[in-house]
Parts: sequence; C-alpha cells; structure tokens
Amino acid sequence: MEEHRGRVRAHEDMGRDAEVAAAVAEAIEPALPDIARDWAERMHSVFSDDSPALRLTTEQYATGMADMLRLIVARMKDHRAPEPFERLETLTQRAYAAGLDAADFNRAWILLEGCLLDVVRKQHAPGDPWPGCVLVRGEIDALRLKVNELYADITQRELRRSEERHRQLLRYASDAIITVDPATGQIISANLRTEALTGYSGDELRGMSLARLWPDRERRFARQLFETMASAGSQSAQAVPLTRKDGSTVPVDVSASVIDVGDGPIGLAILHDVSERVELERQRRIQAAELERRVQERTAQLAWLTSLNESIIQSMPSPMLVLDTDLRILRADEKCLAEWQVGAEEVEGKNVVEVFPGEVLEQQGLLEAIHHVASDGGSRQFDGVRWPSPDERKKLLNFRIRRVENGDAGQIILLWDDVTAVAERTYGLSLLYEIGQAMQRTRDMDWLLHAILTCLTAGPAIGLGLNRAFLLLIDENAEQLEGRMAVGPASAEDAHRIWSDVAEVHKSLRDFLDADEALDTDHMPLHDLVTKMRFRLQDGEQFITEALATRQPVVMSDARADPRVSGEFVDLLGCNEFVAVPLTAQDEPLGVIIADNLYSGRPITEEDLQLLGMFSAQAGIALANAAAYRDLELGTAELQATLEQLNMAQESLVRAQQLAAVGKMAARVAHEIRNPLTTVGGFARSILRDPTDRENTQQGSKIIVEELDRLEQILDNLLYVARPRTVAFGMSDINEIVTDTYQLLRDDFDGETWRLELALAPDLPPTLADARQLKQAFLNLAKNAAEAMPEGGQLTIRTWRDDATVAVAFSDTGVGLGSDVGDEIFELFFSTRAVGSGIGLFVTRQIVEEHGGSIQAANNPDVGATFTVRLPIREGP
Amino acid sequence: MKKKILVVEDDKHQRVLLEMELTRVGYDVICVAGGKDAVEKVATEPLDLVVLDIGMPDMDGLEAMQKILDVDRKLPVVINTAYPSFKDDFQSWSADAYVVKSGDLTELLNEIDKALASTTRPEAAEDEGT
Repeated sequence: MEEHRGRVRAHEDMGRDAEVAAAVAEAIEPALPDIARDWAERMHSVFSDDSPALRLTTEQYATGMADMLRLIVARMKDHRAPEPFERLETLTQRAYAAGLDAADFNRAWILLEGCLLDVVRKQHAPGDPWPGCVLVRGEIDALRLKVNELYADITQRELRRSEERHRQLLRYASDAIITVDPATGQIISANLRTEALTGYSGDELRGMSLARLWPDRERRFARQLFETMASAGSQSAQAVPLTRKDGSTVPVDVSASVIDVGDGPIGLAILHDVSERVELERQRRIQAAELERRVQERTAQLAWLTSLNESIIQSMPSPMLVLDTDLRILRADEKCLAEWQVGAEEVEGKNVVEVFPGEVLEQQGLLEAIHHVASDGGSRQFDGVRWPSPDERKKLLNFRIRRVENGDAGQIILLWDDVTAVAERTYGLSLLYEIGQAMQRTRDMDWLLHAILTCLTAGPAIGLGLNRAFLLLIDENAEQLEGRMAVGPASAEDAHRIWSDVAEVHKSLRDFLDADEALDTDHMPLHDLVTKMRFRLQDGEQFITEALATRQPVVMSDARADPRVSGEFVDLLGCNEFVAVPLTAQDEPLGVIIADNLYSGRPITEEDLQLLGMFSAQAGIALANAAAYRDLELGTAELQATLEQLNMAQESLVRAQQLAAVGKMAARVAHEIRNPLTTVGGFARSILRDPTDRENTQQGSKIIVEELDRLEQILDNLLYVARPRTVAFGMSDINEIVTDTYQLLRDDFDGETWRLELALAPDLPPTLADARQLKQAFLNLAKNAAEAMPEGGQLTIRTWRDDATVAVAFSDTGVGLGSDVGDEIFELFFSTRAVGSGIGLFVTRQIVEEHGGSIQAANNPDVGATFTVRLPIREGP
Repeated sequence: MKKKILVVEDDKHQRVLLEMELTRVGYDVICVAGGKDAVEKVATEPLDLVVLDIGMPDMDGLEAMQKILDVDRKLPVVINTAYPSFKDDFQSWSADAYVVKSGDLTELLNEIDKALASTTRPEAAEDEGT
C-alpha cells in the first residue's frame, strides 16, 4: 500500500501527471467495452481449457472488467476518486474461491496491462516513451500489487480458518486422535476424545509416552507401533486392549501413520473405541456356542429316539415292512425275515406285490387300501385276512397299514399279527354262547336234556363235534346212575349220511334243536344201549366218581389201559376213547354225560376238554333254570289263586270304605236336619194336641214354616255337594243379591235379639255371577253367623269395591273362630262339637271359587268373626 | 212344689218348644242359650234338673256339664242332643240320661221323670207319696 502511494506521489511530482491522466482516460474511456472484450478473449487464449481461470465466460469477464476499467478511468481523471479496493477484494476472493493461484492472477493483470497499453500507444508514435504508458503501467502495477496483497491476505485468512477448522475437528472428533513425535514416541497433542478414552487429562497426555497406553502384554504392540512410525509407514490393528489410567482396559482399533505437513514427519494415531463391537462379537460367540450346544443336544436326542425306535420295533411281536409311496420295500424287520426265511437283500427293493401272495392281497381290497394309504395317508386295519398255509389249517392275520411322514417323503408301515389261535378260541366261545342261548330257551326238562345231548353231537362246527352222547341221571334214591337218553347216529353209515346232509344244508344248531318235534326217546337208535348203562354211585366206576367229585370233564384216552374204567364198560360202550362230563345244578349232582368219537376216531383234545368244561357249567345252569322254572310254574298257580282272593278282599275293602264315606255323609246330614225336624215334629204335635188353640197353632205353624225353610236350605247345600252343578251366569248386581238374602233373613234377624245391618257401597259395578248360587252362599254365611251368636247379637253385611273385585263381608258379634282353626272350617265335614255340620261353609266356598273369587275368615279385633268374600268384576260376553 | 228345670239349648226354636212342652207337663222352666250362662244359673239358683244340648258354639255341652257338676255334684243332667255319637263318649256317662232329639218328646220326658225320681231329695219322696 505504502509503495503504491509512493508511486502515485511520484507521478504527481512529475507535474503534468494530471494532464496525462486526463488524456489517458480520454483515450481509454470510449474504447472501454472493446478493451474489456479484447482482454476477455485473450484470457481464453492464454489459459488452458481446464484452468480455473476460464470458469467464467467471455461475456462475464468482459462485463466484469468493463466495470473495473470504469473505476480505474475515474481514478485517472480524478485522483481523488476512490480506489477500487472493494471491487478488487471481491474479485480476489472470487478468484481465490475459484481456485486461481497468484501466478494466474498476475498473468491476468499483465494481459490487461497489455490491452490498455495497446490502446494508449495508438495515440502516439511507437517508440515514444509517452508518459501515458508509464501512467498505465503504474496504475496497473499498483493494482496488481494490491491484488497480490489481497491474495496473500485471503490465503492467509483461509489458511488460518482451515487450521482452526482442523483444530476443532481434531479436538472434538469422536475418535481419539493423537499426534506423536515419531522419534521419541511422545505425545505431541491429543484431542478431547483421547482424554475421555484413556482417562488421562490433556496435560498428562502431552509429553507422555504413547507406550504407557499399552503396557505389560501389549508392550509388543506398542513397540511395533513405534517401529512403524519411525519408518514412516502405516499400520492398523483391531481390538487391541488399551489400558486406561485407572487400570481398566478398553478395546480399540488403532490406525497409525506418519504425516508430513511441511515441518517434518508427525506420527498420527487414531484410536476407535470398539468395546461395543467387541461385546457384540462376544455375544455372538456365546450365541453361536449356545446354538452349537443345542444342535448337539438335538442330535443326541435324535440319536436316542432313533435307537429307541429301533428297540421298539425289535421288541414288537408283529413283523413289519416299511414301504415307500410306490410300494417298494425299504426295510423288512428281523421277525419278517425270520418268518419268510429270507435275507434282507432278497426283499428290500422289491414291490410289495412280489412278496405277498396274490390271494392275500385280493382279500377285502387289501392292495387297494395300501395304495390308498400311500397316496392319501391315514391308517387302515384289516382283520381276519386268510393266509394260505401248507398244512390246510387256516392261518388268520390282522393287517395294519399306516402312513408316516419322514421329512418330504411319506412311508408306509405294514404290520400284521397272527391271530389264528385267538380266532379259534373266539370261535369256540361263540359256539358255547350259541349253545348256551339254545339251552336257555328250553324250559321243559326233558327237552332240555335232549338239547344238551344234541349240542354235543350236532356235528362238527355246529355242536361240540362229538359223535355220540349218552345221558345218565341219578335216580331218586341217589344210589344209582341210570342211562336215560342218548343222541347220535347208531352206525357209521348213519353218521356219514347225517353229516353229509349237514354239510349240504348248512344247518344251524337251532335247526337241529327245532327239528325234533316229537321227543320219542324210546325209538332213538341208541336207546337200547343207553338203558343198559347202570352204575352204582358208591363203589361204581371210578371215572364217574372223579367226574362228579371234581365237577370237571374227565377224558379216558385209552380206556382199556385206564384203571379208572372197568373192562365191562368199555365193552358195553364199544369205544376206547371217551369223555365223562358231569352235570350239576346248583351244587347238586344230576348226572353224567358220556360222549365219544366212535365214528370219526378224532381224539378228544385238551381244547375239547376246556370247551366241554364250560359247556357242562352252562348245562348245569340251564338245568337249574329248568328246575326252577318247573317249581315256578307250580308256585304260579298258587300265587294266582292268592291274587284272586286279594283282589276280592280289596274290592270289599273299597266298598266298605265307600259305604263308610256314605255313612259318614249320611250321619252328618242326619245331624244337620235333626234339629229342624225335631222342632217341626215337636210343634206339629203340639198343634195336633189342641188344634183349636189359635195362638198355639199360629206360633207353632210360624216356627214350623221357618224350620222348613232352614231344611230347604240344607237340602240345597246337600244337592250342591251331591251332583254337578249347572251354573247360570248373568250380569248381576251384588247389592241386589245381598238385599234379596236380607229379605229371607228378616224373620230370624228380627231386630230384637238378633239385629241385621246392611252397609252397601253405592257404586258397585255389575258383574257376571249366578245370582241363585250366590244367594245360597250368602244364606249359609248368615246362618253360620247366627249359630255363632245363639244368645243374640248383630250381623253386619257390608259391600264395597276393591280395585278389580267386589267384596262382601259378613261380620258377627258371636263367639268367634277357635284360635287354632284356620281354613279347615271350609272343609267338607269339618266340625268341632260346637260348630255345625260342615257342609254349609264348604258349599259357600265352592260357589265363591266357581265365581273365580276367594273367601277368608278372621276374628274381629273386639268380638266375633268376619267372613269376607271377594268376587272378581267380570264383564259379560 | 214344681220342679225347676234348666234348659240349655242354643237353637231358639228348640228352646221355645222345650219351654212350652215342659211347662205344659208341669215344670218350671228356665232357658239359657249357652254353657257359660248355664253354669251361672246353676250357681245362683236352686235347680232340680238340667236338660243339656251338646252342639253349642262357645262351650260345648259336655264341657258345660263338667262345669255344672263342679258346682253341684248331685244335680241330675239329661243330655238332649242331635248327635247320636256321643252316647259312648265316657264324658257323657256323667249324665243321668242321653236322649237323641226327636219331634216326639216322650223319651225326653220319661228320662226327666226317671232322673228326678232317683234323686235322694226328700221332696221327691213327698211328691211320690202324693
């Protein structure tokens, strides 16, 4: 600035500078826009295309420079004009911001100088060092100097600002930033974060050896760090534990490098707190470990389940095949292989139709079912599938098919159980059941015994399959067993014929039992033989004793050789193998059945014995039943007779009761009419004694008439009770009915000893009622009141309306109701000795209730009682 | 001297009848309508016999009879009732006679005579004599 001012003064000192300046200004001013344009174009040709100097367009430059030139010219004209410093500052700042450096800036100004000089020189001859050029050069120089100063200022300012920014950045960075002297390893500076991270204060940090942060085991790291720095290299490390001032550690990522900002290398260490990350990683590791553990557990479980499965399969009695959904055998268990006596490789991979006989798979749709389960899932069961067997004995199997899911693929499990033995047992039991049913149906003892024998011999699969059966019963003296009945073919030919019949006709046990209509035991084929069988119970055949004693069938497989059988019997029977089945009913031995298989020669097996044992138990029950039934039949006849007698007795009892009731009724009625009758009788006799006594006749007749009225009343009540009443409802005025009743009572209630008062409400609405019956009811109540006050008193009849009812109250001053008497006074025939016959009040209540009303009786607070009748107000139809 | 008979009867017309007939045959008759009045009369007046109904409101005849006899043990009582059934009631045995009411008063009059005759009053013997 000072230099510039110095130059300007120098100009002024020249004396003619004002003229010169004016002349220059004159020369420049008109050409101003062209100068500006010229300069702008030169700029574009001087600078390369990518230079920041060419950020603006030619136009913009031209306009800008024109303004500048105007200012310069103004200054030339009048050196008191303001220097264009503001403009320059703005320009410089812009240039700086654009990225122009000082050199470029200067070049621009020199270009401008050139343009101006060209214009000025045109005014003068070339070579003439006109002071105008000097002036221009001076001006431009001054400006250029100024600009450079400004530039320097700006640069410095920017630098300082940048420095400050960085300082702030450093200070407040979220990572710890430490600068280190690479030669000594001492900390030059550390930002705030470092203090927080390490726990050391700023003062403590400055000058501290960086190694302090990694003591002990991390010392090696610290050494490495130094070496890196010393060799101007860079290094980064992850999660190195940094030791804080208080001894605790914190994991940090370290990146170390060496920078040079101009005054020598500086080590830079940036520390990033990664405790969070470390923690996260630690947790992840734990989770991973947990997961691992669980997986192992699961695997172990799975292994255990698998082995359990295996054990189960092995311990199951059923052979098992596992098939895939195409019915190929995946696996056959050991039992299956053992049963078929094949090795696994012969079976696995084959289709199920290749290993099972076709006749098995066809039964009950077994194969279809397997297909069905394979495609749709679920489970099926097939019972009683017949498996062809070489020895003709039927083998029965129960099949179970089930689909199980194994991941994506399904598998079919095929199990089967051999139920042949079970089936046979079941068959035997069902046979027994049928036999039992058959026997139960037979009540007649003889028929039953025959049925028992038939059950034993009816034929194979229908009865118990024995050929002949002989029945021996204990006689009455209980000393002998006598043969009574026998069933079976008489000869082998007969046997053959009968059984082939059976086979053709498929007879059932029932058919057999029903077939014999006439029980003609004498003509049965084995009759002769059986009647010859006779044994003593004591010292008789031992096998019989044993059977009866044990109550179990006893089989003689080789009768000749068996000491329990006499030779004679074997001869008689004609068969070497037979069975003796005892018959007992309710613990009493009845007899023995001897059965054999003479014709078929089939041995009597253990199973047969079992069945026979059960059979004999059932037979015993049936026999007991039959015996009981017989007793029952006898007893029934007696019972019938007794029942007849009872019925008759019952009838007489009922009649007697009825009579008693009637008698009671009659007694009551008689009592009620006795008083009036005796009065009538007495007065009538009195009149008869002297009819001419007028006074007597008058008095007597009057009384007779009154009593006869009473009798009529009583009769009315009686009739009411005795037969169904026909009600005649009509719209009635209750007050009128009361008044009518009052008329009838006037003779009795003559106003002297007995007074009658009416208190009738004037606004009583008419209601549906049977006037005649209500009159009867009211008369009864009045009579009742009179009877309660035999020595005189007052009867008040009051009527009033109470809501939807009409009330009529009969209030007397008599003896009142007994304290323990309630509604019973309205019951038929109720009486204490004091109160009347018990019909009047009953009838009254009936009549009231027929009108839909109610009646209550209560003692008056002072004396006497009040009977209140309430009748609902009913409109007519 | 006329015998005095107390008639205990709640039915008005019966009272009229009995008074008329008993007076006709020569008795002095007092009528009361209930047991309470009867006991009072027995206590206050000399009586020779009581004709007693059973079926009365307030106090029935048998109860009245007990009360009367409490006052005068020897007073003859003839029950005259419409109830036939109490004849066997042990309470009625205290009475000298049990008559069922009838239009024909002959039985009643006979029983009254019998009861009066069987008393040990000297007046009775005197009357008999005359």
